[in-house]
Amino acid sequence: MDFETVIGLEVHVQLSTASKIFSAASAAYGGEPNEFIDPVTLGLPGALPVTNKRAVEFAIMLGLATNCEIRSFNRFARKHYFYPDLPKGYQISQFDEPICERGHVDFLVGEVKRTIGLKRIHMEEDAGKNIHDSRTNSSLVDLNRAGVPLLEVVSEPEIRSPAEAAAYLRAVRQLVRYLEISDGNMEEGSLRCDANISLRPVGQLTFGTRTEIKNLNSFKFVERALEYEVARQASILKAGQQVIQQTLLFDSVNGTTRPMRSKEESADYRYFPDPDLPPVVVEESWIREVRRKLPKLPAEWAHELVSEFGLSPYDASVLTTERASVEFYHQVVATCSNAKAACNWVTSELFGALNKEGVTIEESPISALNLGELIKLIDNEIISGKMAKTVFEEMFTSRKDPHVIVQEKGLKQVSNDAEILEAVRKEFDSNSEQLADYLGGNDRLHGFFVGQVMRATGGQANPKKVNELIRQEAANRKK
Amino acid sequence: MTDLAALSISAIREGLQSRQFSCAEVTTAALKKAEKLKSLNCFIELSADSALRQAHEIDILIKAGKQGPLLGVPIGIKDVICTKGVKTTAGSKILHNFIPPYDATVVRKLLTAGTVSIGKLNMDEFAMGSSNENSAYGPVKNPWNPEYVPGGSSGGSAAAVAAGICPSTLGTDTGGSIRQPASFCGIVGLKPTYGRVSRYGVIAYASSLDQVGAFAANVRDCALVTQAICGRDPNDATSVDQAVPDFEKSLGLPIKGLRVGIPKEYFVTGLAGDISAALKKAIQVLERLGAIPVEVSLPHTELAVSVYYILAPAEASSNLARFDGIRYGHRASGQLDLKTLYAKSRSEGFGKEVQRRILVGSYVLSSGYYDAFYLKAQKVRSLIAQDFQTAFKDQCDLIIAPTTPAAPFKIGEKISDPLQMYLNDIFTIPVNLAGLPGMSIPCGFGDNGLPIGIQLIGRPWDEETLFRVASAYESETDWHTRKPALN
Amino acid sequence: MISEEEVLKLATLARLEIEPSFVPVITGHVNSILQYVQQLDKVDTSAVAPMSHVHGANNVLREDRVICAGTNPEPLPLGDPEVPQQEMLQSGALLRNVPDHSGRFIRVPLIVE
Repeated sequence: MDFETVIGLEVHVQLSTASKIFSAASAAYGGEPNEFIDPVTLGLPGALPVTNKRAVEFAIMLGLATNCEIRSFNRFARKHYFYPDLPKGYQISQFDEPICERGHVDFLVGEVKRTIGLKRIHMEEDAGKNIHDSRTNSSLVDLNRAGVPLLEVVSEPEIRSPAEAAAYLRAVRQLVRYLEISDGNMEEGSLRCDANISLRPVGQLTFGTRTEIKNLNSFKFVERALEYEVARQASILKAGQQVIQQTLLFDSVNGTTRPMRSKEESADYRYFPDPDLPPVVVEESWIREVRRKLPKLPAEWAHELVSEFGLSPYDASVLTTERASVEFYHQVVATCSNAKAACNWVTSELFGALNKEGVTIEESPISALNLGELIKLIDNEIISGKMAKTVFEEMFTSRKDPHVIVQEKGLKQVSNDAEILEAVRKEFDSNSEQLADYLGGNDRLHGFFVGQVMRATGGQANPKKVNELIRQEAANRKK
Repeated sequence: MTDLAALSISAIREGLQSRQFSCAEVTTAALKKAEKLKSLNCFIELSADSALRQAHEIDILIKAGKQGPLLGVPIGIKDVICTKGVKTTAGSKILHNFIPPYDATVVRKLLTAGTVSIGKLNMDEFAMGSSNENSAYGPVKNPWNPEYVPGGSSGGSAAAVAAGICPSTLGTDTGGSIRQPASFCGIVGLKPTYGRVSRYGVIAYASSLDQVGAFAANVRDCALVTQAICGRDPNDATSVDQAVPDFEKSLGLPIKGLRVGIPKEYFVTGLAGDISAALKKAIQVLERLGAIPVEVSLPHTELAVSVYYILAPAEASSNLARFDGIRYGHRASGQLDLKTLYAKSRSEGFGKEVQRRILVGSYVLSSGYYDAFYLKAQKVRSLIAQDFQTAFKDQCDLIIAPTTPAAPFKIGEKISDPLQMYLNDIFTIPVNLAGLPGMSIPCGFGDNGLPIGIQLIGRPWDEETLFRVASAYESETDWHTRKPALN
Repeated sequence: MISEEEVLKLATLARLEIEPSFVPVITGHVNSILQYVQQLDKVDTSAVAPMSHVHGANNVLREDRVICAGTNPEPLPLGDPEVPQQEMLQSGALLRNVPDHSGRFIRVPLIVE
């Protein structure tokens, strides 16, 4: 019996607004415990929520970026349950009227293009944080995070493997970072993932019993937890038994999943429209305005890089990993008009140097403009490619303009025919044995003489010219 | 010696401006009277020290020439409204130790206007009740006869004004909790249009029904205080950006030609004879002044109590979920696990009526029952609102109705049968459901010698017409001058 | 129409503990209320929209701004008609009502997951 894996992901995106979704307290990360609070956050008697416009805008942006239908008449609903990190005893969320529906996320798994449908995106408020201290038999509650805006992104159960799940998650992360609505940081919790997974015999249309794995906080854990769960469910089903529907936590130390102890079976959340919050009506004009301000998205960039700049899909995917990278690259090309060279310099040289120093592209000591200028210097044969590497290193440490460095260090390529010819002749004259060999047809000695001339000119001779003139002089001497 | 505490707002203002007396003297008089009439149990907490401090500061302002319609006036605040640094209990044990770190917007507005807050007034717990017998701090007695209830849930607020402790108090009204006690205590009480007054800082009972309003001994004082508390608040998304007219300008305007709607469904069997007689007399007074009585129909009237007792408990069960002893309020003692801690804290802190409504509310919101109960009630609510819309569209300019089906009852008389108690709210509830402004004004006395009132119901945002008619009625009658004989 | 068992389930859902002797009484009360409100069944509401919000405009939204007042603000000077925006009070003041705390944390019995 062959089983098909069916995975759906619920991703919680924490929005990078300044204030919380329903209160003007700060939505910043960190801070002293219970520092970013106010009467609304604390759920004090008499406190009332007021909706943050930017949170709604961010929701519309993500909806548009994932080709969703944007709902025009939106209400918030109260979702009731008791938990110490939920101050009001209910979470303000959206129930059967989510702001975005029926979209899709496109991404690559290796070379294969995949599209995963999005069931819905809705707005809600985050809960606080609990720290459990079993020594003192108590938990400590910090409400800084309570009320921070979240977008819950729910996929259709169309993901077919743990690897695909990780790729989908990366694609979502990439999108929210491009849109600058979230920093998508799984370690800090601004991107969180719950996974629903079930297996069914290949060909069967109905779904098998699914389990939910909560609070996966790294790409690696998502993949590993799902791999474990696939294997676990498969062995249960192969033994002819039933999978129990339950909520699980991933034990990252052992690489296993285990049931959550406290989750109530089918909790009754008693949803109803929140009477404190008037409806949010998203008119066409608002959608148009948001659409106009959307940045170019990864897929569009990748397409442009391949079709207009002639890059390989692989290179395009590397460059579009971050919006800052592709915009940097774009500026380099705008300066030097050499897409391929720019790609090489950015992806191998620059990324290499940045990674080594642990520096992001936004903090790059070499500006896009200057890198473009460097490439121009090569293309205009002012310096050799080899020399450019030296200049590059200097640019990285000193932040100086390439022109300034070339000038200061006198690294200008020697392209003067007469000068080079003189050096060639000198080397021919002082290496008569090799010359005889070379003139006799041993082409390997061409490289020898190139090396000699380059050494003699301190590496600054124009390699093309050196080649040319060695051949020319050799031809002359043969006569 | 004039009883300074029993002066009207205008008289206080006059006296302060002409230096006849000081704010400190008025405030002291109010506090002394509150002490003297302690047995009525109007106050949960008297704030003598802070009141006198405030009064002294205001005296300095007055000396410096400052003026204002409410400057120096002592005011009581229903204990469901948060006052910074002053214990606020909502009439419940669960908040017996809660000291709000912030003021409700209406409190800030009154402070800005220069009033002196003398204390927090007793009420039915979490505003759930019609007799002030559901308070964790003991019942309030009706100043007209202490064996009788003052009405609820703003019983303390109404009794304090009726007893002449201070000229005005704030209450809240969700299903009649300002109008009914105003009627039972023989004073004026106005519930403004939903959205007129900010609910920020007002401990929520039913969010789509609650409104803050003023009690006063006469229409003018009610207008002055209402004026001060109205207005859009950015902290309350349900408060509406509607210009606040000068309500005082409506007083004394003629009412000739105004069409006064009389809902035929309100004159049902079950309406006490003394109430119906008083209402008829009141209509005659208005007719004498040129108003035109018109019969209207509000066909869904009999469903209002059912709608209310689905929606209000539902919203209450939600609003009261935050009372868990975790961040404030009563927390049960002992080494308890979390779930038990929640249950014990809440059960020890909430009274029976509150628990009852939480259970009903949880039921009507639970999956499987939501459509049949909650959603259904929301739909019938639309029908009730539409009834009024139709009447106001081209049949009448305001509606006159009884405030209560019967005169005040004795303490202990109705408390054992919740449903019987609920049915008392039949005339006030529809007004909250439709979000309309409603005012009760005194119009006589019942067969048992206790006050009764009539209710004026207006179009949305049309408190002006209510003030106009109430003031005209007041000019032709003397009910507002009658005071209880307090020993 | 609602049994004592269902009432107990609701009580658990609402985190209420009802004294065993009171359970039949409150079940009776809840039943009489639920029975009474059933009168709504006889109304045809197939063409009626629910009234979830009363008056007022839609889109009552707030600019994304952090409002921070370090110290508790004083009441406004007399005559100022403006009501200030939500103030963020000193968090210390906000936490003063917490029944049990450990440093700046709110302390509760251990949550078992």
